[in-house]
Amino acid sequence: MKDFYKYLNINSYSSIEWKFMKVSFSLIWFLSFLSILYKYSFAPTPESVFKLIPAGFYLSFYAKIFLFLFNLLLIYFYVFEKYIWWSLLCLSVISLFGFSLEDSNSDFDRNTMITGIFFAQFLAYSIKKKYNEFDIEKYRVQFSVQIIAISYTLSAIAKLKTSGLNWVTEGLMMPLQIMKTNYFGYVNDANLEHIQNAHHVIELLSKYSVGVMFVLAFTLIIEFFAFVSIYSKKISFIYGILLMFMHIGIYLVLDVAIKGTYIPMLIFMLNPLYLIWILYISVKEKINNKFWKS
Amino acid sequence: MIKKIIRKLISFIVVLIYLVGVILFGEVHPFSKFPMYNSFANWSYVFYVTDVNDSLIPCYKLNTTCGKLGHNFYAICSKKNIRYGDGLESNLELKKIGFEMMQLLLNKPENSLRKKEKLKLWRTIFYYKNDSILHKNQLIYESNME
Repeated sequence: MKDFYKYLNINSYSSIEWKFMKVSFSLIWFLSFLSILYKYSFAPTPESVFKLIPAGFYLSFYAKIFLFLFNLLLIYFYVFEKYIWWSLLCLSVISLFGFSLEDSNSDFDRNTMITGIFFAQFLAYSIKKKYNEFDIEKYRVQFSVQIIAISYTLSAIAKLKTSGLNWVTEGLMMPLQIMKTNYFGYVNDANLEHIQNAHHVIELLSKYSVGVMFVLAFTLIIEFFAFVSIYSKKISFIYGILLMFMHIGIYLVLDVAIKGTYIPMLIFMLNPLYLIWILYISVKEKINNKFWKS
Repeated sequence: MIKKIIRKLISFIVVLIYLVGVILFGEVHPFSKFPMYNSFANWSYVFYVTDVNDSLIPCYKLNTTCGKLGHNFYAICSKKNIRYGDGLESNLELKKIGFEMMQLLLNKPENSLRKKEKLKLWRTIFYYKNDSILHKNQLIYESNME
């Protein structure tokens, strides 16, 4: 298990870690982009960059086919680190247009982090282009973590600005939100279990109102101090675990999972594919050692 | 010394750029203040679609989600400067919003078959009364109703 702990102790990112991040991230991005291409052709309620396009926007079938193939090529370049500056520039711009198209159909899927991460990585490679001594191995990941960290901190600031510290006590009104989000689940798939779950959770929380306030206070603190995760890889990893538990809690109580937020966080703070890989290597090494010794 | 300052600045540069972007542009992709669940209101809306017999049509069959129906509602209210929440909207306003929501729903290419069917769009409002959660269903729009 030495390799596993070494991962936590080293404050730099190996090229294999970076590759695993890119593979997971580009896969998520590509699936989201495919869904956008499939669903939308117009921008009926223009948002973001579509506000700047005065004429009506229309994405034809052939344009979609071209974008699909072009994206495949860009992802190949991105994962295999070829023409990386250009591929990141194109991916950032396409991501900006793609998710803005989704927003322009009033389907706000909260994918700001994904576009932000592409732009952050593009910035890292732009600095590297200008200053050769720039530590690109570290900053292409650290810049991505900066986007994730500031997003969580801003979320806490938004709560404090709107509700102040009362957000914690207002949490006693949470049963209404629990009812709503579980009804969302029911309306999505017609499964009555969501409503049963809502009643179960509300009954449970009503028994432990002080506990609810404690958990909410803890959530607010975790979110507010998320910016500390930009200091080092180790802190980022520990913070990733805290945020993962926070998301699991939100999912269990509120039946809410915002994929555009928790997936990038998991990829760049915990890198699950890499963890599985080093676990596999460590176990393989241990078995080999045991075999040779015997 | 200068190198040290630059190195420190680089450790925060994306944060700084993002903050400036949020201040300048607000809720414009890719910038956001992440306002989700920043308060717990004492009302809540859920939108859903039924067929002519008032049987629920699950959102996955309409290639949308209940959350997205809600976002559509709030975006249309903002566009039309309609005050929303806690049942503030008039029946006429709800009908206008419902019409646009239905257009957004039916304009999705994969839902073309549903254009032939009569669909009903409903809103449920959840609210507190004497520490109990109550709800009220209201039909806000029927397709083919003109």
